Amino acid sequence: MKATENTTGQTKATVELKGVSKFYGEILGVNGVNLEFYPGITGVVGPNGAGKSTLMNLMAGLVRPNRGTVSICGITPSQPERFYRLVGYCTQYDQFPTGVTGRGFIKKSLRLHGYSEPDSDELASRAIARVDMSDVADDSVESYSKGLRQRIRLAQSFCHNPKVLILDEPLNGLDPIARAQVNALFREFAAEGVSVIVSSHVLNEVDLMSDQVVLIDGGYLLAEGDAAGIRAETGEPMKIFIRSVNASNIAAVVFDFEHVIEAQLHRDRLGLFIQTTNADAFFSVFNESVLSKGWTIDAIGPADEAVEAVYRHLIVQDKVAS
Amino acid sequence: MSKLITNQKANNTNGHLDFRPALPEPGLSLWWRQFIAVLAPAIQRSIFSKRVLVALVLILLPLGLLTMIGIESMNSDDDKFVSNINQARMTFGIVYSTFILAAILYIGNALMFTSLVRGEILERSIHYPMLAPVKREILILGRFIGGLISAFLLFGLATIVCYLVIYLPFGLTRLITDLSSGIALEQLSSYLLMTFLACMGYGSVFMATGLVFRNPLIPVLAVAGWEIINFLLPPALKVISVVYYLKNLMPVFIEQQGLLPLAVVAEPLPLWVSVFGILLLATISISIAIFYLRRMEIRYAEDS
Repeated sequence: MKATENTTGQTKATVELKGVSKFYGEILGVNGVNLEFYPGITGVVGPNGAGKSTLMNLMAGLVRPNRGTVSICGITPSQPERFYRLVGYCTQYDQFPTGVTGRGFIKKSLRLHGYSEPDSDELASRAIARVDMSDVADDSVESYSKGLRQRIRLAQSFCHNPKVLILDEPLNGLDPIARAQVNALFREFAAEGVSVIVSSHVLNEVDLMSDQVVLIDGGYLLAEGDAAGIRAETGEPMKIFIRSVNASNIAAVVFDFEHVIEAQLHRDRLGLFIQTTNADAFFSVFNESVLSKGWTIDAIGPADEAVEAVYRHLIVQDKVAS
Repeated sequence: MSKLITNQKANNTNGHLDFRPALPEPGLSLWWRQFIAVLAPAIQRSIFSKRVLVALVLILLPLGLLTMIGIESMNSDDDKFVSNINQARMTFGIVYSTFILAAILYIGNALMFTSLVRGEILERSIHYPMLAPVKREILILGRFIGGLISAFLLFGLATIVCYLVIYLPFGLTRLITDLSSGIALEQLSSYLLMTFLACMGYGSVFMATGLVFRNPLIPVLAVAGWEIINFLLPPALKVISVVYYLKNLMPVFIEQQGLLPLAVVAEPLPLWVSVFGILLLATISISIAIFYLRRMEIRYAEDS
């Protein structure tokens, strides 16, 4: 399935994986992956052991593919001096060099890039401010909570203004407020034209933050593209919730629509759940009906999470069947 | 007040994009900056590690031995261990070649250099430098030079102190006389050169083995065995050894005893050959380390 579209109007992919396979001895990491990533947020979703981290490590050049090529803006990891100017990677490894402070950790990284002392100071301060850690930046990393460690690693990954930001489970260990802040930060990066690639098993968060999703399981790419598009291609029905004083009338009418397979009236008779196999066709006909019949619609929207529905269809059902 | 702080934060955050300092293009200027950025933490890591404490304890052994010899020679009138300065210099030469060079410098460098890269792998922090836009040659060279500076500071200082201790029975006046006549400085320079070259030779080998082998103890023991049997090896194999080159630099002649009948005698080497031999060994070892670092994949689960 090939559903990737460039949603930001740019045609050139920032990250390209061509026929990439990675085996650890006889164990499959990923197999035959062809992928392109564009500026914006892409969520990489899959169960534990699906190959998400292998895919992230391949993109970041920490492991080499047995077959195929990985490139970022046309540069491969075999040219580290140029490649890592473009990439920032926040791994899952929650480890730090011994005895560093949060600020020192980021400054060391920037000095290694080749920035001067004053530039490193300034860039470090800005990155620290972006993850809201200015107050504790001069404390030892060893004194940090898991959430603070996660945030300082995140700051280290983007402190040099990369074009591609690869984040392996970046929301692990963050409390709900920090998660919301970090999600907003990813949005800012996407707005700045950065390709943000986020792996996660927290489906609703991926659904909320991502422009595109990549579904992976057992080392194989199952689907890629925007969640709604994938769902349309898989034929997975979409559940829609409508809130209206005319709910009973609507239920009677929409049940006759071609793509509607279920219409369930809420017991307060003001709400309605509809399942349709073609959401676009449904909304087209439904809008005409609203206008022609003069219904009052208080609220309408998807009643299930798009990514979760696709995940359920492509991964969970497949595992149950097997 | 809190509103003001919030605004400052917001300004900082929004201003992130405005600040994009340019990096120097790849070249000497950038490489030098990156080299310093690797070197400084490497020195810090080498000097302030627990392994240095073990090296310090090792250094105390020959220092203690030489001090005991000196004090014994000061106190007793008859049957002195060293009765004149030439005997004292010979005693130091024996202690240096058999104890300091063959054991202390070997074990000390093994402790300090095997942890330079392997330590970061075990600590699971090697991915940070590996994700930086820096030549792998710089990552290795910076660590090696950092380790070399630390090791030479430590063992060079120990060599100087140990050498000065042999003057205990002869007093400060004799030491000043020997220093001003040049004989003490000449000998001390030779020992310091040997110490430096030993740190370079052993350090480069142990840094490379720390990258190639998951358990560096095996190569450390193997190299030790090779160095011990060096005097038995034919001349063609003797050249693959640190101790072979260094023993030629000894400022005093020490007659080999014990297993001498089994020893294969090789022609003494000129100074430049000894220095070149160690430099060549270090270059080969560092090249191997760079090769392995370039090929290295970060898969910590396999290294734990």
